[in-house]
Amino acid sequence: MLDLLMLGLLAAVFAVAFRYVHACVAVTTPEGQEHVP
Amino acid sequence: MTWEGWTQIAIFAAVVAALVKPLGFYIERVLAGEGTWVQRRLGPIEGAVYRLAGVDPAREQAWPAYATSLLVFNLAGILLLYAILRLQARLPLNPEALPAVAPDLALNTAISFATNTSWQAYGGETTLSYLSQMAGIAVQSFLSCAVGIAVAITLVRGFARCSVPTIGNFWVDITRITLYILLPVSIPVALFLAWQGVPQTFAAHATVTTLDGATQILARGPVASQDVIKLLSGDGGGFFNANSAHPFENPNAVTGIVEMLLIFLVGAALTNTFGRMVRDERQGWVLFAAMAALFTIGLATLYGAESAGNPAFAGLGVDQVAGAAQSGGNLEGKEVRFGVGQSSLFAAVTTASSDGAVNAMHDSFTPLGGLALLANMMLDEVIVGGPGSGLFGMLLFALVAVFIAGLMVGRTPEYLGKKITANEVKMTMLALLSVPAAILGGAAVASVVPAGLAGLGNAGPHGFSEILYAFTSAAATNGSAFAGLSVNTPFYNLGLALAMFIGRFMVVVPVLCIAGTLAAKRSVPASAGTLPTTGAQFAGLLVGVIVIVGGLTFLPALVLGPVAEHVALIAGSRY
Repeated sequence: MLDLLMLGLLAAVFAVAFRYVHACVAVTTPEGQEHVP
Repeated sequence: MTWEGWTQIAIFAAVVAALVKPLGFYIERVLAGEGTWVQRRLGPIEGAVYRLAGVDPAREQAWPAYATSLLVFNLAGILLLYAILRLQARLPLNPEALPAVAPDLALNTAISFATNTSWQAYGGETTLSYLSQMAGIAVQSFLSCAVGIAVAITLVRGFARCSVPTIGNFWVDITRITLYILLPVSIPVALFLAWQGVPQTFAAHATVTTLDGATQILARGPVASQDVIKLLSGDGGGFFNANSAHPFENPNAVTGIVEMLLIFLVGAALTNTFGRMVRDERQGWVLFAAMAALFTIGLATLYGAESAGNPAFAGLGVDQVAGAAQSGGNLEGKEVRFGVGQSSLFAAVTTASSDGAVNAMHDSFTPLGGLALLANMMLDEVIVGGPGSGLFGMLLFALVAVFIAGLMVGRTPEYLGKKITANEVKMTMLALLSVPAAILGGAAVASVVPAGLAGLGNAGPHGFSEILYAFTSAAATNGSAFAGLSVNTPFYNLGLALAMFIGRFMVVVPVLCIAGTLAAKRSVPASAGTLPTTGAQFAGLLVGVIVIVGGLTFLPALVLGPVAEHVALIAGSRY
C-alpha cells in the first residue's frame, strides 16, 4: 500500500515536470525573441 | 592556520589549475565525436549500445525532445533504484541479510541519487546490500553525472551554434560521457584507492577481536569501485555512514587530496571545454577565474574560523593555538588524520562542488564555518559546482550579468554573439529562483510544523541552521549532511525528496529551453558597444552579481541561523 502511495507521488511530480516542459515551450514566444535594436 | 594547511591548499589548487586545460580539451573532443585514443578502442561498445537501444546517433533532438528524453531516462532510473531498494532482501549480494528499505526512505534515496544529490538519510553499511550499493547507487552516480554534463554541453552548444533547431542527442551525449570520460577515470583510480587500503570485496563484514579482547564488527564491501564515482560524479554518497571520514573510504592524507581532486576535476575542466566550444578559450578562463575567486573567499572564511577555534573554549582558557603538541583550532568533529587544514579544504570543496562527500562532521564546525558551507551551496553551486551543473549555473549568472549591464547602458544584452532576449531572461529567472524557493520554502515549513521540529538535535539558531542546511543541501543537489537532525522520517524523506526534485529538474528544463532558443538564433558580430566578456571587468561583474543575488536571497535566513549563533556564542550562549 505504501509502495503505491510512493509511486503515486512520483508519478505526480513527474507529471508536473513533463507539463513544465510544455509550459516552457508555450512561454518562449516569437515575441520573446524580439529585442530593442 | 598553519603552513602545512596552506601547503595542502596550494598543491590542490595548482594541480586543479594544471589539469583544467588538458581535460577540457579531451572532453571537448569526446563530445564532438572526434576520435580520441579511448574512443578508438571503446567505439564498438558505443555502437553496440546504440544498436541495442535503437538510437540513431546521427539524429539530433530539439530541446523539448531532449528534455523529454532526460525526464523519461531519470524516471526509469528512479523506478529501477526504488525497486532494487525495496527488493534487496530477496536479491543476491546481501551477506548481512539486510531487510528491504522502507518505502519513504527508498523514494528519497532513489530521487536523491538520480538527481545527483546523494542525500543519505541512512547509514550505508547498515541499510544497503552490496547489490543495492553497486547496481543501484553507483550506477545512478555514473548516470546522473552524465546527465548533468550533457545539459551543460547543450547550453554551450546553444551559444556555439547559429540558426540550428537542435541541441544534440541526449542518448549519444550520456553514452559518450559515461563511456569515454567517467569510466576511463574511474577504473584506474578505483585500483589506486584499493592499493591505498580501501576495501573491494564481496565478503561479509568481518568480526574481529580487539587488543582489549572485545569483539568488533568491521563493515566492508565493494567500497573502492563506489568511492571513486561518488567523488568524480559530484554525487558524494558514501558507502559508509561516515563517508570520507571513514578510514576505509579515505585512508590517508594522500587519498584525501586525490578525492578532492576527483570532486573538482570535471567541473573545473568544463570551463575550458566551454571556451573551446565557443572558439575563445578566454571565455572559459573568465568563468574559471570567477569560480576561483568565490572559492578562495569561502575557503579563507572557513579555514580562518576553524583555525581560530571555539570562542566558548577560549573563554574557559583552553589552549587552541597550533603548536608542537596539537594542530590547534576547532578539532571537534574532525579526523586527526586530516586536521583543521584538510578538513576545511575538503568541506569547502564538497560544498562548492555539488558533491556532498564529507571528511569531517559539518555540524561541529564553528558558526562562521557553517555559514561559509551554507553560502557555498546557496550560491547555486556555481563555484565549480557539480560536473555540468556548475557550468550551466555559472552561465545562467553570466546571462544575468550581461542583462544587468545591458540595462545600465540601455542596450539589448549580448553574450558570445547572441542577443539575450525576453525568452532567455524569463527562463534564467525561472531556473535561478527554483532553488531558493525550494530551500527557503522547505526550511520555513519545517521550522514551524511539529514533524519538522521533532527531528531537531539542538535548539535555537543552531537548530534552525540544521533545518536550513538540510533543505539547502537537498535543493542545491549537494547531499552533504550537517547532522544533528533526524531526517529518516516520512516528513523529511518526502519533503527533501521534493526539494531535490525541484532543485534538479525545475532548473534543468529551463536551461535546455535556453539552449534551444539560443541555438536557433543567428550570431551577431561584436561591435564597439558590445560588453567585453573576456577580461577581469566581466569576471568582477559576474562575481558581484552572484554575491549580490545570493546575499539578497539568503541573508535573512543566514542571520537567523549561523550569524545569530556566532553572536550568541561570543556572548556565552550555547545550544
